[in-house]
Amino acid sequence: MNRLLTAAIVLGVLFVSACTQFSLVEAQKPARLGNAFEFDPQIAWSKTSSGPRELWTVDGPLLNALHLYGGLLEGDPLFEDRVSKPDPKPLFRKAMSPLEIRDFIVASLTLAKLQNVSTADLRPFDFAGNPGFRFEFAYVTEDGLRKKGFMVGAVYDDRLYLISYGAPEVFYYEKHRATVDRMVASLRRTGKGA
Amino acid sequence: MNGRVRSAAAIAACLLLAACQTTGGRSTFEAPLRKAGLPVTTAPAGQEDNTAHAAVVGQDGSLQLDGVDYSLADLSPGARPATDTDEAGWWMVMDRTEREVATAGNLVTDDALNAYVSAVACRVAGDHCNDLRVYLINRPAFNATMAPNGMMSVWTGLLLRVRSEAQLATVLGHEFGHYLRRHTLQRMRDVIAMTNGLIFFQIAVGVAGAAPVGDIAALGVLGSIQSYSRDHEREADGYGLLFLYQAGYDVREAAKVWQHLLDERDADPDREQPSIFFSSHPPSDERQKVLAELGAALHQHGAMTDTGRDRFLAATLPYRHAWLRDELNLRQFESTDVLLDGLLDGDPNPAELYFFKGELRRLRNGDGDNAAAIEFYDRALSAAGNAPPDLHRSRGIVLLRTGDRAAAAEALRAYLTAVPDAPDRLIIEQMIERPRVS
Repeated sequence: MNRLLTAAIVLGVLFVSACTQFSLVEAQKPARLGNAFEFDPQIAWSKTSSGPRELWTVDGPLLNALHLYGGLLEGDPLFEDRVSKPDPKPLFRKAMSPLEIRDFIVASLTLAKLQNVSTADLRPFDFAGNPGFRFEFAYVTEDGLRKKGFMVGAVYDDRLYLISYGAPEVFYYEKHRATVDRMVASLRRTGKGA
Repeated sequence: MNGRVRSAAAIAACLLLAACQTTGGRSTFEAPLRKAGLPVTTAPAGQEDNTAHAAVVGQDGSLQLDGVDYSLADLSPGARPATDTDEAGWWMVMDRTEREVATAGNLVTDDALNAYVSAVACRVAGDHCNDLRVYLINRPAFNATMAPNGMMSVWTGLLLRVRSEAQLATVLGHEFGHYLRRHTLQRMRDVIAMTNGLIFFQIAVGVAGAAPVGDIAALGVLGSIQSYSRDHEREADGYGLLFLYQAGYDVREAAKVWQHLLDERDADPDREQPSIFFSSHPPSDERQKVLAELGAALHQHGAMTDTGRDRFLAATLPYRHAWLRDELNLRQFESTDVLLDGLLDGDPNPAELYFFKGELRRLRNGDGDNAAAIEFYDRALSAAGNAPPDLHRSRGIVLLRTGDRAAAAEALRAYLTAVPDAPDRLIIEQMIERPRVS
């Protein structure tokens, strides 16, 4: 019985992972960030999503990853709970200042086993007309790959909206950085037009 | 299924890294000391019981002494196993692992710290100095591992927790004991004899992350593996003490390592232990007690008083801020608070520790934590040592939460003065102008 159950679970896991489907994001069609914001993707991306979290990539998530958070709510963790662990996770609180949101993100990345997570140049950012923030980050993966990126975000209507671009320092970061800059610059409230 | 994969992985890790449970068997703790002709009781001179007991030779040629199997000779300095042996096979596996460790993202590359820990390992390992290679791993948990080929890893969470060079040497000596006595090989052979090698297949599959193909059904087999490992742990503890003595350290420091871990465990007994070492080397009361008694006996005999605390602090204090930050990111606030209290005992930089007691409360953000955080920040400012300049920023954040905007602005300005090139200057200037609570 136990063995059957194990086999069933293994098969289940295989099927579920096989179902992580990426869909096409068209370059010319405005994309949504939650219900509140939209922006122009600039180029074609592949995306996969789960609730308010989306992952976009061009060359594969290990080589360039654009994480979109379309509104984390009070008490949400940055990353989805895959495995229930008794250890408490850092959680988003709507009253957080940008400094605390940065702490929340760094702690979440560290708990996700990323090494030497550092941030720089935390500054105000006009998030589609709302007071937001922007900062750079860098870390090393468990295998020793150095990655870096930047993140913009804002708390709007009690929800945390984030766009985070990360890629290996060598070659891949620069490859799409300007594109992501243009995407971020095109951010606007939903329905306000380009 | 998860549990099964985890246990398979844990067993494999235990086997490969020679780390597992210990729960009793005092004579095994004593064996290394008796073999070296050292006392194991505090009995008056002339009445010490320090003789090795008679060897027992089994029908299969095995050699037992004080409950320890000496059929396998100690590794001699510089020795490598002959290439046609099973031992060489395990060395090869670990050589491959070592190449991965050497480029891992969490490897600490700081030269000064690496040189320091390697020097302590050398002092403990004596003639075997060149056989050991120490890798410092940046992870906030108490752990050290020893592979059969001489690869030793020491985690930064361990460096944060030991409080003297002698305490560090205790753990390094314990790990070196596993190496010297070839515990991995002993257990491989024992396990293969018991299971016809089948279990290795399952373990290998388990480590690869898939479900074990069969059950690790024979719980009896598992029990025997663990009982062997418990003996090895006891023996390694005895060696830790012996090497500490031979290297001229204060042997009374050994038991303190475990006492500190017991204190932390008791603060939060329910939480999942974050490291293999912690779950497989439970800081048991018995272990602490035996090491304290044996340490007292040895101290009476040799009376060395070098704890190396000053050398240890000089070598590690520059890194402690970063290690404590990693520790707080785990959000195991209750046990971390006990750790901080323990570190405060005679610490040359209490300001830093009070700052982190404040940080702990700021991040926990529970009832009463804001007020308590401010109290600890203030205490850090008046305590001896150096309060980190970040303190003012943290203080500003907490004051903003409490709605005291004027005091918050003042604290944030103090931060900008203390850190003129602050990487978050622009956002802080904005917060000073437009303090926003929600």
